[in-house]
Amino acid sequence: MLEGTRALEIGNERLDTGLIKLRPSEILFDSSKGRPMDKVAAVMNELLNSFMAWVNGLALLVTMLSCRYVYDLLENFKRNYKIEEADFINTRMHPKGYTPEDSEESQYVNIVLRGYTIGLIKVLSIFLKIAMDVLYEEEDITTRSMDLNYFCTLSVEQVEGPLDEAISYLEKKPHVPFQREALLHLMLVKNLLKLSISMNERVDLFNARETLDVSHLHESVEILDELRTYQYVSLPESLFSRFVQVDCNNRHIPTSNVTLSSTEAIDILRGIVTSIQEVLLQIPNIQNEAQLILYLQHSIGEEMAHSASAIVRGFFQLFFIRDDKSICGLDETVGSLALRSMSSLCLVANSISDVDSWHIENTSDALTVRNDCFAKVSLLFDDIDSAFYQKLSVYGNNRCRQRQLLNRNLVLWDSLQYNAEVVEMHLSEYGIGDKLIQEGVPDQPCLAISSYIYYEKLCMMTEVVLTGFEQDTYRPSEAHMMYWYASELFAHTHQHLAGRLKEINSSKLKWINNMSKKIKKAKGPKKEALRSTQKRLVEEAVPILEENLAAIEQYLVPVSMTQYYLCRAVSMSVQLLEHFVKLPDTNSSLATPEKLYSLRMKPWSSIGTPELPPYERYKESNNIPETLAKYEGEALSRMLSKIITSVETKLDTVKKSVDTVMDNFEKDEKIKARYHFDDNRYMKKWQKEVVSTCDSYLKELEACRHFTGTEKHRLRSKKGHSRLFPIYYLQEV
Amino acid sequence: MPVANVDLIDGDLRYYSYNPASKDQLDQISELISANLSEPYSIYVYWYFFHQWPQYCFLVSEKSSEKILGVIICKVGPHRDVRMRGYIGMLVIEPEYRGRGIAKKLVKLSIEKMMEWDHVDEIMLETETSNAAALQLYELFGFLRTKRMHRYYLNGSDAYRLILPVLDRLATRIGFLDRIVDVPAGVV
Ligand SMILES: CC(C)(COP(=O)(O)OP(=O)(O)OC[C@H]1O[C@@H](n2cnc3c(N)ncnc32)[C@H](O)[C@@H]1OP(=O)(O)O)[C@@H](O)C(=O)NCCC(=O)NCCS
Repeated sequence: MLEGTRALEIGNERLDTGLIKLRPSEILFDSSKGRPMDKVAAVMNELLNSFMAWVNGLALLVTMLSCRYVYDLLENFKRNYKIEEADFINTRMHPKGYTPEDSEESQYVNIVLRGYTIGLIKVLSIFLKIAMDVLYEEEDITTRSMDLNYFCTLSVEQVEGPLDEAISYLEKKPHVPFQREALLHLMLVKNLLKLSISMNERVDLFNARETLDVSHLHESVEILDELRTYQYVSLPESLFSRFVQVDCNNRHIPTSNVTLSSTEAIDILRGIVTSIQEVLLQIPNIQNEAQLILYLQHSIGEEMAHSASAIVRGFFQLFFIRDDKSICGLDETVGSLALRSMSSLCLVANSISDVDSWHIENTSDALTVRNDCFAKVSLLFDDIDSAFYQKLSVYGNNRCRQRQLLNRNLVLWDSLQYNAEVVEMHLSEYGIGDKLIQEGVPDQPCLAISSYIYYEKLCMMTEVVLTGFEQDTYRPSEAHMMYWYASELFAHTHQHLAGRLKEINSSKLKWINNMSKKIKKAKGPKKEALRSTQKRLVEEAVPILEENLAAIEQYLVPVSMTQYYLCRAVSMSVQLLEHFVKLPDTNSSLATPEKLYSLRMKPWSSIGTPELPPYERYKESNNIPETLAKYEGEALSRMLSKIITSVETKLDTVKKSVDTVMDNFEKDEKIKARYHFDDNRYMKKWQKEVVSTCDSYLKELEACRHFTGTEKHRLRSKKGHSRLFPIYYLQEV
Repeated sequence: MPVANVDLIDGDLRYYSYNPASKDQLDQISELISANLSEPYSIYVYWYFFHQWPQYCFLVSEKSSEKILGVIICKVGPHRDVRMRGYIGMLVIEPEYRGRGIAKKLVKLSIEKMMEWDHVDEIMLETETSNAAALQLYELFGFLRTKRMHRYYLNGSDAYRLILPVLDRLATRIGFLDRIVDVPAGVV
């Protein structure tokens, strides 16, 4: 709420760390004291548990840093930031020049445990970097570092010395009890440190010939599975305490320390490792931009955002878009992906992106105009790059953030569309940019870039509407309205795809065909030039155009149609259910329905096209309860039955339409080549979700047929088959 | 309309304005809140609210007693220079007194006063996604959940931002509004 909320307050036990009572053993804990191997292994295990508690979102102060080994080591490291200084000797307890005794147990601590602690802190520092670069503080993870340096300034190689020393020391002691456990913990850390290499691996996107090396991740999983079977002795007394909360530079309120059970911790870490492994294995399999977008939407933006640790999301973001804006480190960039994306919808061999083809007409000062047009197009492409960057950056965030970022992107893409239209119209005055070629209609600019942007914007608009259901941001009484609005947007999408986007591609095909006539008429070198242009276009552009047309006709159009019917049918189903709800007492509402409508629709209200339907239109289009209210008795039953039947028919249409899409998907080779990824998992999932959602509503509607009208109901929602389609139902009160 | 002290009797209960001079009231309020809200609030938070907006803290007691049974703490200020925003910071009713419509009355009173004294365009607040009582209460008044915030609270739970639109300017995206007032940055 406010910055000050979590501030420290002197004298208040809930807020003043000065009032934390410490036991003498907590104050006098001697980290450098020798301990048997069973204790050392137990400490390693607990350190891992507390590390995972941090990964899970808690502060370092109450997790890993509450361990004295970690704290003392980091305090010592602060002296001159050299790894040699990072030892366990507490200088407040021991005189200068003190060296720990030379016993075996002392070596277990000062060699083995030290090597482990140093290694684990470096793993922490890799995670901290991920967190600070791309994650959201507190909501994803808490990075407050208490002014300590977690070896961020040292390379992995620099900290590996003590870790390797610990490993080779321990390898020579196979008979010491708990040697195996301790050694496994050390090996785990050694493998985890290689994450920093993985993060910088380069993938030749869409052309990868080799898979990435994930052996360290594979090995980590094996180690974790073995570690899961071990039990440990109790921890040294006072090892984890609130000493650090009192001792370090702490402006925060007192909090209890938190740890996890070994099972929980191993589950989390195993999840992180396997998810990262999956990312590294999947990305090289992606064949083209369309598959990449599907992968980003489903595997990353949805599945991973729901189930994986924030660290994995962060890892993905840094792996995917590098500092230099390259994608996965090699030739592909944000800009090149944007071009691919436009090309696989409607921007194919368009003269707007081919300056050599520009023949400035209608002006005496062709050179100036040409330069001016070039500057405008360049600027537009720069803007598209940035907008595309924003689009790509959404997927790695938590779901709440994704929706907020999408919401922000709406404004960005809307103004981008406006700019693009201005530029494309301006250029068309000089004959730059392709034209729509329609029978009986004078040629008009095809506005390929604006059309692409409009399509992307519509998709974002619907996504913001539908993810509101996933996040439970709508009251049950708003559900029909939001599904109705989603259906409106799908109708626009459908119209745009079946209309202009299809036209742009087919016009270009016609234009290429029509070149033959021009070639016939032309003479000499001009004829040759035209011929070679046509040849190039037939080889390069025609296949893409044909693929685009197939994608639009066989896939995108039927999907948008299905989604339109689905949203409309669900909206009507919910309205029918509302008929059986005793109307809520609206007297207590301090806002008018119009105002509530406007507030709810605010994210879409500033969008130029499509314009937000006014409140009256919404009321007219959603009048099932009002219609039914006009009838009574038999007439009401008849009317009810009629409406129920019509909604049932719509739901059946949706199911059929899904089948058509799936059929097309299996039959059409062009579509298969473009969109089949990971065994077509995403489409199969979509099919299942839509069909099950329809079935659930068919069931709810069937129940409506049997109500007598005397029952008292409340409208509720429950988990559905898709996150975007919870099932609304009537609950008796 | 000028700010005036509120002091109303409703049945056995008295609803009245907080008295900034009363140390006892401050102690009672912070105890009530600390016992009933998960988020720990420091004295500075109370000072922050009471220093600038003492008029927007209302209390409830039995008619014949000084013991505070319920409290609501609000504030009002321009939001990004373009809107007047009322904010409900804290609301707590003593457990034995819940379910009797006291919170409803306190919320209504506060909203009415914010509209009357400061012409607010909107009222905003945050609440845990799992706080069914609070959600139900606010939604009765027409508050809408406008945003879900991931792990907003210290205890790791998500929050909703709720907004009640009172005036029309609310439904326009910020960047599309004219400035209403000149305020130094960082006031709200
Ligand atoms: C939330 C709280 C303030 C409600 O106080 P209250 O005086 O019991 O509320 P009211 O009696 O005025 O109830 C008003 C409406 O809220 C809803 N409500 C209240 N308690 C509810 C509960 N336990 N479950 C569901 N709805 C509840 C009801 O809709 C009720 O209206 P109705 O009875 O006409 O249906 C109270 O429970 C409380 O102090 N909780 C702890 C602190 C807190 O969560 N504060 C809100 C943080 S922003």
